[in-house]
Amino acid sequence: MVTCALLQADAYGINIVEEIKLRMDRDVNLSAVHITLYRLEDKGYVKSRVGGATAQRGGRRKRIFQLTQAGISLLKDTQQKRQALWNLVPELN
Amino acid sequence: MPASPGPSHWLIKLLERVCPEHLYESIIGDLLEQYELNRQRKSKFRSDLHFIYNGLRFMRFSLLGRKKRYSSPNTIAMLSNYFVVAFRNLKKQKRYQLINFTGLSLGLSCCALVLLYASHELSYDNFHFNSKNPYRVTGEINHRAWFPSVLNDYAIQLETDQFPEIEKMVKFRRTPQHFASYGDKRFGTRTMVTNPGSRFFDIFNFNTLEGNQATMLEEPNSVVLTESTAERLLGEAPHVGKIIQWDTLTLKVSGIMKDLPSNTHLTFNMMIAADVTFYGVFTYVVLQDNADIAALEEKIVNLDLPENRFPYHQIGLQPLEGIHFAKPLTFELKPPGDKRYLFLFTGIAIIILIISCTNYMNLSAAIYGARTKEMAIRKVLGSSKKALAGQFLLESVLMAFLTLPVVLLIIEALLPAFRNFTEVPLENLFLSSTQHIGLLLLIALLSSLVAGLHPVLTMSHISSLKLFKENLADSGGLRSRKVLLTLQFTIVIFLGTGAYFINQQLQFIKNKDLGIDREGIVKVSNIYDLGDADKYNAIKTLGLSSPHILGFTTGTPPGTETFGLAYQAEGHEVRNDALSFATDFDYFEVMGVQGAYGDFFEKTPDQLPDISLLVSEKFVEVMGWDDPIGKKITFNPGTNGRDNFISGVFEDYHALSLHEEIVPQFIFARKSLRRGYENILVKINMQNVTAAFEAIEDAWYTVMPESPIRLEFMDDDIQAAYVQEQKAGTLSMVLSVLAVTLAIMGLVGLSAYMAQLRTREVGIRKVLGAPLRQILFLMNREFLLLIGIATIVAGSLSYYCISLWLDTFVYRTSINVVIFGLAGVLVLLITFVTVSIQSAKTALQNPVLALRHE
Repeated sequence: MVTCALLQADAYGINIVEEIKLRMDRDVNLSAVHITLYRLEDKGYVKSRVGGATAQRGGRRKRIFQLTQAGISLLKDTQQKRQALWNLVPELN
Repeated sequence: MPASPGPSHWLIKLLERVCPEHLYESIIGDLLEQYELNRQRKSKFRSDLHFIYNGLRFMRFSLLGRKKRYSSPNTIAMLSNYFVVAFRNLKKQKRYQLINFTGLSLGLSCCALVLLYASHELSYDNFHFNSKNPYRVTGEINHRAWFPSVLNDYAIQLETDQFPEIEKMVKFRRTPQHFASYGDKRFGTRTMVTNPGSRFFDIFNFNTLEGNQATMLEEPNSVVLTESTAERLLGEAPHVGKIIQWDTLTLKVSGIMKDLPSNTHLTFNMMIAADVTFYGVFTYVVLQDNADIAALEEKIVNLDLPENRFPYHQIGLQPLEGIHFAKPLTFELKPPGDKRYLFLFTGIAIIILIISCTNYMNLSAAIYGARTKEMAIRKVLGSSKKALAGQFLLESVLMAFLTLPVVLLIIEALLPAFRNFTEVPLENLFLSSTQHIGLLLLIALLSSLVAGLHPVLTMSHISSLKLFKENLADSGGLRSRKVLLTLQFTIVIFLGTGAYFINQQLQFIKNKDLGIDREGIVKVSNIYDLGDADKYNAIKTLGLSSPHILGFTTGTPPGTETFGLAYQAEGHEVRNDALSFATDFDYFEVMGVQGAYGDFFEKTPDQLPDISLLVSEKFVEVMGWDDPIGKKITFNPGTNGRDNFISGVFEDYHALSLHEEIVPQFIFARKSLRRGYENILVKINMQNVTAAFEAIEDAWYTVMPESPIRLEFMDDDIQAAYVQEQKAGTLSMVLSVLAVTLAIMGLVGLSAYMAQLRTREVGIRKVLGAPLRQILFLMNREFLLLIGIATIVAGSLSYYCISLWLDTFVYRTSINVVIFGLAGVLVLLITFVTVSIQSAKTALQNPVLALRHE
């Protein structure tokens, strides 16, 4: 979801996989990303639209995902709570 | 970059199919893009693999579940239309459908019953701890007899450290029937005695109601009773701590176990732990997981034995679960099951099912013949082949499932009789066990699919034009119907002749001269309490004073277990392959066993010594003696052996069942018995059986007021050896009647339909002057050849099977080949009558009406 926000206008399956690999150093499967996205969409945190076709993908269109307002506030909320928790942790040297 | 990206097209197609419509495009797009990215980094092969792997990862429920499943309203409407039409047809063609219905429900019921039986038989001893592992130690002596028990000398050594591969073992011995008494109650028990500290309940998994399984066989002179025995003997629970008497032992009840389930090979109602002398013991061992069984058997055979013991020639370790279906051993605890009969039952159930399915197929021509117009219109209106096939199958499946309630009713109704018949306490699991319900549904589904296949194959691909135009009789699978009909005739003849010969053999057994009188002999068993010979003689004198009692003796009647003594005949090695028992001088006269020669049969009783050794002719033959009289035989050779000299030879009689060769035997005839033996045998006057029974009872109770008497006819006892065969006989009779009925029902339907089809033809023939006889012949002609073929096929098959079966008897009836011909003729007659009756209507009809037909 965070990556989704990061990529802004260009968030779709492959991009997200590559992004996660790049920034988080973690391998995720394409299908896992897809499913997560669909689930988030069900919950209303992201919305999707069908983007333009490119020759690169065998002429198939992309489905581009974008955060909704609800998604954004959820992210902020989570981040705040996590920060608050973090602040409570005594110094770890 | 190539226009066509290399990766698997099948995968793309597959994904297109299974993924939700609104998603698959971007999924495949992403996959392809990833593939191309990969291609730049990796080899083609690896990218391909990666592509396939990633693509398949999309096959997950959460994604597939997103596919909206909506069926077109058209499909639903058609489906409901199929149901409507199916029900209408059921109503319209009551007669044919009734035949189908009856056939299917009978077939399914048979299958269901056999399923119950089979699952019980196959569940024998599968509930014990680690039930694959325990083995029973069995031994073979003299290349002849396998015993389920072994000498205690072996069992003792199995317990020592010589056998690290044996984890635990248990041994117990079977005892003759004694009374257990508690207070003033006494009860004849079937008892096992094991050593104190026995691990019986460690190996066998039986439920206990009272007492602690781990310790209840720990102390000497403790006893565990089964629930029902405890109830009868001890009255009110709790029972633990009560003291009972058994034989000479005083026992303390240490536990109560549930009655043994019917699916174990063990039978007892009392298990005693006591320090008694063991001779032959039933021995069970639990082995380590990787134990080498063959090596262990070898090791046991080679054990050292004390001097005068008879060593085993072979030792076999018998898996516990396999005991029920193993080859019967000598003196087995419980008569074992017979896999052949299980196969027979199953086979016959399948046959019945096949008959009902063929009926269905045959009649489908008749049923669908009337519906050609419907088919044609459906086709014209655009119904696909697939849809038509679906309709046919739906109808037959519907039919099969409609029978299920009836099937359940039939099972309920037949179960008590079936329980009696199989002597297995079966329960109707089709209401409780999901496994059984599922299996029944599966069988119903499969058989209905098979049955529905025929109309599918014949009807759905005929052109609609043809369907409009003509009758299907000629176009629609006449040949296949002939094949089916032949199959049915074959089955009927096969079953019929099989039943005939089985019952023939049973008759043979019943009438076979055993070399011993079997009529009017009453056996009094259970005479262990008789003690000394005085009581026996007192009963004998009293009994013989009654006019209804013709003779009185003791001994072992044929058909019962008789222990063979080890013996050494002059000039031969030690053997124990002969049956033996002791009796008084009257045995031969009472039992009608003929003496051949020797002093014993030639002199008067008072000229004879106290004890005479008599041998059978077979014994003489086995020994190869010309003159056996006076030869020496040493019994129990070794420390306490004793010598006897043959003083007579008697003619052979069948002491074992007719499955077996006549065995050598010897009889000790004593002037005065030293003690009562196992059975008293009384020859009675059959004119008045009740009075005779009363006379015996009077005599018994005058001398033995304390002991209950048990009377039975010896012949019943002999017949008991053929229980399995008698069951097969009854079963084959019932089933062949059933098969014939079903087949006739099918034939009725079919011939009525065929006659109807040929109405016009018959009309024309009549107009042209054909006599009734000729028309009837015409109708029947088709069946003649079929029955001929069926007779030959069924005859040879039946001949083969029956010979196999008869070969299990050493003494058997012969197969009369004429019977097969007769069976064929009989079937022909039945067919002729059925077909003629059905076609009579057409044949007798006014030809004008016939010509106007349609």
